[in-house]
Amino acid sequence: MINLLRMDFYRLLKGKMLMIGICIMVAMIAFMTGMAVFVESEAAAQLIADGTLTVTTQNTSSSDVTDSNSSQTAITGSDQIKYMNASFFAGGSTSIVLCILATLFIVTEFECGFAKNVFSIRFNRGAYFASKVIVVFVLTIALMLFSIALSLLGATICGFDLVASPFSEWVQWFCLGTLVLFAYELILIAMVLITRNKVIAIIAAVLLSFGIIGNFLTMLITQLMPGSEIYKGILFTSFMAVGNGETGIEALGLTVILTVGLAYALVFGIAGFIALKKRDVY
Amino acid sequence: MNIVETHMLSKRYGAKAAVTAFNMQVHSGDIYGFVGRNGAGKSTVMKMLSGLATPTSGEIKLFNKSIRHASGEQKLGILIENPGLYPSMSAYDNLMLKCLCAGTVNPKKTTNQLLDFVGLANVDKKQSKHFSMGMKQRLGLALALVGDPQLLLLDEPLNGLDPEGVREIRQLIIKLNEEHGLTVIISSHVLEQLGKMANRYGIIRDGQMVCEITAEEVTAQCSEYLHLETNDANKALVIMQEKFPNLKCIAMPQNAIRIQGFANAALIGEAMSHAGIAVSALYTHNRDIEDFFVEKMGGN
Repeated sequence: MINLLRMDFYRLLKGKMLMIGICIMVAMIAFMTGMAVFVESEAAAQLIADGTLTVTTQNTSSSDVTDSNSSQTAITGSDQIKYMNASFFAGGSTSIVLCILATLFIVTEFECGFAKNVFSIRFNRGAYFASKVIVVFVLTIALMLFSIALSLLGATICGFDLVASPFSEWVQWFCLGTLVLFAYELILIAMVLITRNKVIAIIAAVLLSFGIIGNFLTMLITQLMPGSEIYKGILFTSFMAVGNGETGIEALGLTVILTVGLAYALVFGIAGFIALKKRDVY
Repeated sequence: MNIVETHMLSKRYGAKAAVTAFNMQVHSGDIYGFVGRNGAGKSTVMKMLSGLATPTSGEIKLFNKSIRHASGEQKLGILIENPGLYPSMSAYDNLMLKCLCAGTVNPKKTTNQLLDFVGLANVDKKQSKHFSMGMKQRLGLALALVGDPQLLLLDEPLNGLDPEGVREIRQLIIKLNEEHGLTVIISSHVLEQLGKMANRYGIIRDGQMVCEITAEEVTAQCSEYLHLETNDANKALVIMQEKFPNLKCIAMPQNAIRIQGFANAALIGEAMSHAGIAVSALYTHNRDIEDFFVEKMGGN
């Protein structure tokens, strides 16, 4: 498996995929930081006061609720995790880039036929699957750290006076964020290994990472079963809760997020492995 | 020693049987020409041999070991259907990836040696998507050679190549077999080229092995015959059976007769003349290797 990992990391570093993904992430974080600068500006304050501009924040404690309280949008004085959520996590840049990267990373190998070269010398598909999961997991951690560093650097450059979040809160937020994103990626890996189709895989990655599927499911549950707590079982609910920082995690419950994240990761991990084992390689 | 052995191998895709009760034996050091029409099941067999497809039933033994129990590295190189290249990567990077995957001790050195061997040492950082078909096939062959394989499975490696490219690949394959002792299973529609390489053949029809035959046996079966054209083929056949009972006569279209065996053209001509049959053509003919295989494959 070490050899498979060496191959995968070589491909990540030598290929364009990772560089393009990082560039997109940088651009999105820059855009979100720019938006934050605008929201903090006098001009935005005037527009908000006039009622011309409405700034919304999301709260997912039970269902999607829009809150247009301008005081909640103040960045200076808010803590670092809250800023991170507003600028990149809830903004979606990390999840979008990671989901599309993970999808492309797996599907390209089958699409171009290189997988045949791999499987012809290594019949053990378990090792192959494990190596891909490890690479995606490491990539998730690396890009999460990169996003945090870049977002906080942007905030410092733009002069936002953020309150340092406690280390324990950082660790909790980071672990849960990684778990939820990793579960998202395992859903997509399973999808890729079942369909082996690049177009379907990319569409699925976009729908999932943009929250379109999650929002649709939440809406469906709210409409069909008002008052039901089934929505808590949707991975998107956990994602949004983590995206709201300590408040969101507390509201949904740490156990719920952990259970849901691990359950999705496990179920889709097994589904992906079975699909890889059963399906022929072409 | 058998490098490849299959017993009653079958593969079904839903209700459709792609390969049925397929038995194959490839000896060490063979260049095994694997021939069959499109859709006969050649690629499916190759994919099962290389572990890409799982047999529905039956057994495959590679190097005297069942592949069901294979889990580690295989001394197997493949080029099946297409070379399987990352289009945005160079030849060097594609080869490096395979070397790393195979756990080659010195991947950089091996990569450069293989590029040199297949004549792609000068392509630099050109992306493989910009390669010609011949270059892609050569790179595919280099990929198949990573990890010092003892067995090469090449499915249509001559596809899309110009005559020069065909000759180059053919020479490479012969060189690998003769100098490095590799066993090669090669399928190709270019039967004439296959005839210049293979020392054994396996003919597949409708997913079943029709026969396995050596190159010598093919040559013997393609040995010369007499071609006779007359104005009355039926009468000529009767005369032939009366006068030359030891010869095998086959009626062909357009009043032609194919005569196999040790036939004397002069005697046959004389016999026809005595019987008052006008002979429009009488000549010896060496049977084409392509005709032989097409007939075995179930073609016209």
